[in-house]
Amino acid sequence: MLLVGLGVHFAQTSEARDVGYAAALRSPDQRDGVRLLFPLWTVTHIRNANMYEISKTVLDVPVSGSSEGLKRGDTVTVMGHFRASDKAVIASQRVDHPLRPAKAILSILALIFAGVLAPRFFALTDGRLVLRG
Amino acid sequence: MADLITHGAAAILVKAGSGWRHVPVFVAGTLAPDVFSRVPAIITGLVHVHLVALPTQAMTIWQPLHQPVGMTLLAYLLCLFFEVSVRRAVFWNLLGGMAVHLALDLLQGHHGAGYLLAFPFSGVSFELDLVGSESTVWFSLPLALLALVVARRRQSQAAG
Repeated sequence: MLLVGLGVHFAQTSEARDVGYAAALRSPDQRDGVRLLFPLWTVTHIRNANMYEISKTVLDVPVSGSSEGLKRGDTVTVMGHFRASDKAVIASQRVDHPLRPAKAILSILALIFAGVLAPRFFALTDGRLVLRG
Repeated sequence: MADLITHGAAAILVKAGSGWRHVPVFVAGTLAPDVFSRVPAIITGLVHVHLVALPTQAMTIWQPLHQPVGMTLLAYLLCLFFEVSVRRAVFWNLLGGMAVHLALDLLQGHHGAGYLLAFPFSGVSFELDLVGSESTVWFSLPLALLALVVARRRQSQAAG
């Protein structure tokens, strides 16, 4: 119960915080020019050479900035400023994360390895986990 | 988060230098923050971005399981699945593994989006910003081999 409460509290706190792109959308004129950070967001559309869209908690955030070298599905970190007129982010810096898929593969391999080895170290007896060895 | 091979290997090396007991539990503890927090957040995030829009809470509700207070509660919850006689040892080893996990993650930099170490008491984020968020990819496999060699040596020492 405590864990669930902590999770719900975190989700509510995150949503209530008056920062980020979602907050900028709620009051665009007041937030014009505010600095925004999008760490590890997914590229979902390439509109043209100078405009693309990224998604994570908010879908299809328009980013004004060079889309050179980007393709759909890439992971990027974008730093920029909110522009109220078209609700776009004017990117001042973009960091690409080309090693993100490799990192995911390594983590999946680790989970498979752990799953295969788990029965060697843990057993289920009378509804309880027992340490082996 | 660093990749889970690096996390697992780091946990084995830490355990090798600090006493070779309950190693599987310690390693499970080091994997747990990502298994219970990042994996569901990534899965719901993929569903949200590629399949059907979900409420934001579906992606953020898992985050406390990757923070000290949530980790402590998670270690306590997990140790309850074990028989009473080993619960104390399981709790501390799970928590120790989680601490190693967090220590490794704190080395990373996310351009200012750090870790909320004191949630729910504070919203201040922190990270050391010493390495990039994918830097571990290059040394995870050598580190895993080193951990394997060290583990075999410690295991044979314990047996002999």
